[in-house]
Amino acid sequence: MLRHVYEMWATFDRKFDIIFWPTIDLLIFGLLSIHVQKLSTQANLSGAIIGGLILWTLVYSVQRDISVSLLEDAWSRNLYNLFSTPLKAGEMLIGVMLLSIGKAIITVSFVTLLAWGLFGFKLFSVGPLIFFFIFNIFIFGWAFGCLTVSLIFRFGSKLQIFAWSLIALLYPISGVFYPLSILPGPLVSIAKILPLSYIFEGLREAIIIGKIPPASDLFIIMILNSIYLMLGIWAFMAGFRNAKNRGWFIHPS
Amino acid sequence: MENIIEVKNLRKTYKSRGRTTEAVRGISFSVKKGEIFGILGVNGAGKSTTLNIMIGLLSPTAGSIKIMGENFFHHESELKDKMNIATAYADLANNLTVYRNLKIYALMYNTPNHKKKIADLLDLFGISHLAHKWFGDLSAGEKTRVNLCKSLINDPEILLLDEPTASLDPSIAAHVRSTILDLQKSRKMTVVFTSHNMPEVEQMCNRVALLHKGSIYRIDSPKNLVAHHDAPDLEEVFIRLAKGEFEE
Repeated sequence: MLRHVYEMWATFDRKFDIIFWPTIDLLIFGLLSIHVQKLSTQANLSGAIIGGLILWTLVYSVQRDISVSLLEDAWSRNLYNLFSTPLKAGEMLIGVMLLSIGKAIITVSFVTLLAWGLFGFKLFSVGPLIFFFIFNIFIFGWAFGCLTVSLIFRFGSKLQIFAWSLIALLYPISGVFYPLSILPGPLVSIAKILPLSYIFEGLREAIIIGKIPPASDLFIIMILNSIYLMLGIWAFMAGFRNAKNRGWFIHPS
Repeated sequence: MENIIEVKNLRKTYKSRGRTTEAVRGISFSVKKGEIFGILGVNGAGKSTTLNIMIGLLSPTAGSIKIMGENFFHHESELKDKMNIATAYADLANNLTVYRNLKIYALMYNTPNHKKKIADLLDLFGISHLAHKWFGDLSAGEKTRVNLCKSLINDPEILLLDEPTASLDPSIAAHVRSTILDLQKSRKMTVVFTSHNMPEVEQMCNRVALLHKGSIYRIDSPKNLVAHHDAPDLEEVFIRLAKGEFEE
């Protein structure tokens, strides 16, 4: 983990990743939300859009940090030395998970403060529920990051673009900015097996009408996340074994 | 002397797009504590594959490895704590300084007093002036010496060296060889060594395994190998091996 902290500290593009794009997203969606608010009679619609964006930024950065941490070592041809040490796959995974917490806290704190300063939106006005959502976003982000890494382990660096793009498949169907009810039928069925859709629906209702989601929804979020995390860790370990069998740590191409 | 490494029937087969490649074909050898054991062969003979399996970077298709009497694949992490490897074909993190790279490895091996250890190793290989340079900015020869520092950061009992002097100029290569020999003698360190530099192998190795197309052709001391093949030196033996003259 220390290796990635040093790298983040030393390189401009890693710091850029943490701050730049989330700021640009916030400015675009924040301004759009003000425009939409003027056209709508629904109170706090603007806040729901900004809140959705901030939590989506969290989803994106947590899952990305899991796979990009591995890719950074592959690009440096450092995996050879790294995995010749006593380091175990599980220890490496825990390290990048902890790292993702640190980086995500910086990103979300920055964007949350910016949203408050520019648009007067207070993410934590949702109450303690926001911590439940954030915790579960970390779990899902880790699970999804593990799945992405397992694909890179299995098919090699040619899939490295997945580190930034695969999660985008879930962006339109997670209800980040709009209710699931507007999705075409088959997509609703997919959305219903994603904990993210319950999180974003719950967040929107909490911001717009101040309603706390039913306990059953919170329970579904936890159950789905537990399943995804177990699947993610299983896929990561299976991918690790496959990479070791193919010699990917020696020639990470 | 006790065997510190025992490799039995080690086999590695790669399957890709319906094609099967046998990189290592059931090799067996043992290395005694404090010995410098060379593995020689042309490119693709299976030398690096063997070392990579021995350090846990690659899973074998079959076979067993015992390190210090323990099954390597059952106690991999514990045994790797007492081993290390240096290769000319891998780097450390390019975006970090030499010192920070070595510090990270020192922490991974729980090296006590790592600041002094790093300073001593950099001094040993004559690269103290590189401590605060970015690893990515170093020349190939400088990177090789930093990699050697990394490989000694945990005072390994078993050191694997995959063509360690491949990118060094002759004077630095000679310094590296004498440094490794000194360390091996003073610490009774076991070294497994691959190289294409035959005088280097003759100078350093107690015994050598000649590897050809994934199989061991013969294991003996460099002197005996030369005598057995009635050759002027080990280089001639290697050339005949490469030409396939020893194939049955």
